[in-house]
Amino acid sequence: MMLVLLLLTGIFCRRDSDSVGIEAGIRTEDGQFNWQACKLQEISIGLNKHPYTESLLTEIPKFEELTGIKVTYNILAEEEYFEKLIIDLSTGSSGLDLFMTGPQLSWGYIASGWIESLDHYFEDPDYLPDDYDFKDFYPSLLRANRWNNKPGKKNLGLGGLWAIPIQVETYIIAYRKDLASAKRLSPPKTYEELYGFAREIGESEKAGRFGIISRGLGTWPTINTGFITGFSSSGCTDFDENMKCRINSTEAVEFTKIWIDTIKDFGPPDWPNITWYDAKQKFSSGEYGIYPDCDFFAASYENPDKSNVVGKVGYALPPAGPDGTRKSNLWTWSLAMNSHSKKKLASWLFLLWATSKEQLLTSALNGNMNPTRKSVWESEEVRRITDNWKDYREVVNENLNHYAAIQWTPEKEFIAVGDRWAKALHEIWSGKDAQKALDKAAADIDRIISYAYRK
Amino acid sequence: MGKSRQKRGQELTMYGKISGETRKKSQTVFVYAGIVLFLVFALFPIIWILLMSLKTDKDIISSVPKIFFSPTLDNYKTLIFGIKSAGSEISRPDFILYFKNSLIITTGAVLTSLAVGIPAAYALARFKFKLKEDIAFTFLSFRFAPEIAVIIPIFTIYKMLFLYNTYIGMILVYQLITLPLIIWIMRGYFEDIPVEIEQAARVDGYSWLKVFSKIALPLVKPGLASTAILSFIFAWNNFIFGLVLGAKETFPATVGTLGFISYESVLWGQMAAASMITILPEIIIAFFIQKYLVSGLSMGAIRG
Amino acid sequence: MSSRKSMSNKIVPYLFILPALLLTIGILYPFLLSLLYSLTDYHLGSPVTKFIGLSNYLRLFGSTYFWKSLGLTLGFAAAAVTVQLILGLCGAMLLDTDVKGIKIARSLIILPLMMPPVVAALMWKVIMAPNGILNYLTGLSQYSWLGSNSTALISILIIDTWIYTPFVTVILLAGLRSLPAEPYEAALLDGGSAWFTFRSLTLPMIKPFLILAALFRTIDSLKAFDIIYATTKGGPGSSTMLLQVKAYFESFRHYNMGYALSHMMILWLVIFFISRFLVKNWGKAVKSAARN
Repeated sequence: MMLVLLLLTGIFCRRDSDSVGIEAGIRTEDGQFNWQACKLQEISIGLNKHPYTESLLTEIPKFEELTGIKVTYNILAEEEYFEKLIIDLSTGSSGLDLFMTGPQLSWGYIASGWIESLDHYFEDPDYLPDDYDFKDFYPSLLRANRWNNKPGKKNLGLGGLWAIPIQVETYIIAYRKDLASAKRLSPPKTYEELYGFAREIGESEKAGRFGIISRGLGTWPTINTGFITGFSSSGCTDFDENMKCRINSTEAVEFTKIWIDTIKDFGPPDWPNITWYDAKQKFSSGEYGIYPDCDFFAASYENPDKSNVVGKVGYALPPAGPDGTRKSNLWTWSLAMNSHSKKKLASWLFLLWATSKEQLLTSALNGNMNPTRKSVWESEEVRRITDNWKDYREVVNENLNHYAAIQWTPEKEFIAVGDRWAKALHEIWSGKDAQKALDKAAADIDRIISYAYRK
Repeated sequence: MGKSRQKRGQELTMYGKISGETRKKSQTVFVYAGIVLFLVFALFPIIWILLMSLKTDKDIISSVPKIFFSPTLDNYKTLIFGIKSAGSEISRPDFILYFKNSLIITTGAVLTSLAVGIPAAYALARFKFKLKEDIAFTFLSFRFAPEIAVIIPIFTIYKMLFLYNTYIGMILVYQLITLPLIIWIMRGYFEDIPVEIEQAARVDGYSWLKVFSKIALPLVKPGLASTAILSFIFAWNNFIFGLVLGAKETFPATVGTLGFISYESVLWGQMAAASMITILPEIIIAFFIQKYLVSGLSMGAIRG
Repeated sequence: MSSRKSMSNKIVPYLFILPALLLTIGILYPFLLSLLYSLTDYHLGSPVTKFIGLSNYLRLFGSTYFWKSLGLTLGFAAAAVTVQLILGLCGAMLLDTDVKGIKIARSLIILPLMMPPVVAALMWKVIMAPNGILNYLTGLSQYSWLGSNSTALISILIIDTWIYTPFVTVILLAGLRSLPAEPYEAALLDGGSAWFTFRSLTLPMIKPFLILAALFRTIDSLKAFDIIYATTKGGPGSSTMLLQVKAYFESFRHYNMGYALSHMMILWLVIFFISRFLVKNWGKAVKSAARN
């Protein structure tokens, strides 16, 4: 009786719209690219709250007109977005056809078989409109989205292409140029110098200004930006070639100590609760002297409606390690396709449109930085924007071209590993001995990895 | 009979004859001081949020808390009409949708629980039957289930039954919140009505249904109102069910409010404005029911 | 004093109960499913789920993180319920008087309860920030309430108390206002002090309400999640990592659904036994209050 009741309610409820639309050939008879190949179908997209999303929303009607495909989208703030995405994808349902993701998070999805590999689309010239210009994308970013589902640094960049990058961020330092020049300071070139810089540029607590701000929640993003940038520059690695965790090596402990000491001595008193937007806000309000994090936050710093430090910010490459090595991590928001999607062709059409030159240019002009296409980055319009940001373009160019790559070792337990690592940083910040905290974290991480890859 | 005793009961409070005449002045001051203290603690954050909703984002993030500022209604405007005002991003007026969802889901859940729970509460109060206490405890045990414990199976089942992202699905799951509260509290009210009235009616030939609906129910009306508002509040404030088992079409306002943590910054002003709007229905309903809320909660004032 | 004869009848009670029972069965199914999952290695990313018996539980009992989390959960709940009962009782007694304007006070006191916990938590995060209004008012300079290992959980407790004390107050106030007049009249004639009246008359008679409030608050604070999710997410370190928060990390972040569900089954057991204990006492208290 219960089942009957439930089935009845099922009738009155919203159904997942199953496609009834046409699926014609992607090329018409005379070889033209057929945008109308999936007329009348419906696709559903998962999007994170992001400038890219904002600009996409206003442009979507154009896509619907071009293709006859109806688009529904689900937007959530970042944290909730990722959690819901995992739930959605894990049930193997075809609820979302496309979704935003990033390489590090994709690793878990790839290992779970939730993402569709895009290679066979890209390698077939029929499937690309003539003006798409696949080569326009920065190769390093495409490489970042490739993985062959085998753990280990050497496996990054091999294997299938899982998502198309629509934004890239590298990690630089933003600092108060006005305060620095008043004290005749130049931006720090090593992490020891960072400590000194933070001390100098921060005044006493009573003046309400501190030295350094950094994100600090006990989750993987805390590691992902400035920390792992400096970590890698200092010759450290998260895993060695045998997938043994090395976050407690001698160099690693040394670097972690300097990083945490800088934050502890000259950083926010509530560091463990600081999210990236908290930190950005605090820097924009003028409370802090230096913030090693996302490059594109410059857009906020230079926005008079949101920032008290317009025109006062200097940008510089992240500091180098003790032997002069410099590395930066990167992150690229990318669009991926659900491997269980029932409307792959329609989704493919959307992917093409949303990552086309025009769309990416439009989004860049609406605040989606940094562009992933060379043509967009070099375009007049984008130049005009970044020219207002002092040395931003120079620094980002150099970082992107020479130093930025994914510094993490790809493996499927990225989130668990990252979260555990961040917790260790918390413990060190609260006074625990760095070696002990990192030893314990490394042991836990080894256990996570061996359990995950058990035969 | 019952009513006049209730009235008397209200005058003779715990402090006995302290109402009005014989209360010493110092005691009055003490009472006032205590109440003010409580109210300050209770209301201060809400007033702060109200102020926040009238500030621009720049004022909010200033390092020293600003007590004096020039108020603006921009946050509310953006929220309700989607008007892009200086400094705020293009915020789509989804919040109104979420608010509507909360209204539909919460009202539906409470009404369902009342319809289902009140008869059950009556039965538990009046009848003796096998497994009575066990069943009663089982109803309460809904409340025990940690949300995370049940949410994934419910998610999977819902997807299978097409209940995912539907109002009915949400109303069903919200029963976990509202039903135990209603059953257990209403049970207490029913138990306090003297049985003689109903027995007399039964002797007169009334069926159980008539006794229940024509006699027992009206007597517990005040208690009903207060239980309803309490369960409304708990249901309205739920977050995780809405997040996991719904999508854009059915997200409640609570999920919507967290959505103001956007890519750029936390849109504090809008979040504060959204919070103010979110608690509005609760306040309105409480206002209308308030005379029942406390005075009506006088269980057992009718003692035979 | 009042005769509470129960009527016995065969079918009618079951008819009254039926809809509610149906819903109960509806909930039972997902719950049993969760129980089953906790005995497997259910991993969100893996299509294959194997039955592994009690492995998850063994792993749980051997994990210091679990015991710490359990301890935090129990401690938090004990503290929260105690504080809220005491404060709630004080509030209820104050509101039970008939001073001028009391009706307004009664409606205002419930306002914090109307704030969704996630929203309230976010707002308190701002209030408790190092440069927030709390430090401004208490004269503390740049202290981080939510960011220090020692005070993070206490700060969560403060937020929880702020939201839920009105709930206790409302229930206790109803109880107070329902108390019969005679005992008090008698006590006044006998010349008893206020404290005596309170201890020997009021307290025993509102015991059922106290237990009812304690029951709901205990259940909810053992399950505490919303507030922590919106503020510290279990940190700093793991000083606010209560059981349900930990389960959320294990499941929705680290994909280990089977393992996470074992946490939740233990939590459920704890809640079950504590509630059973409280309900038994509630029954006793109701009977003894009726005798008065």
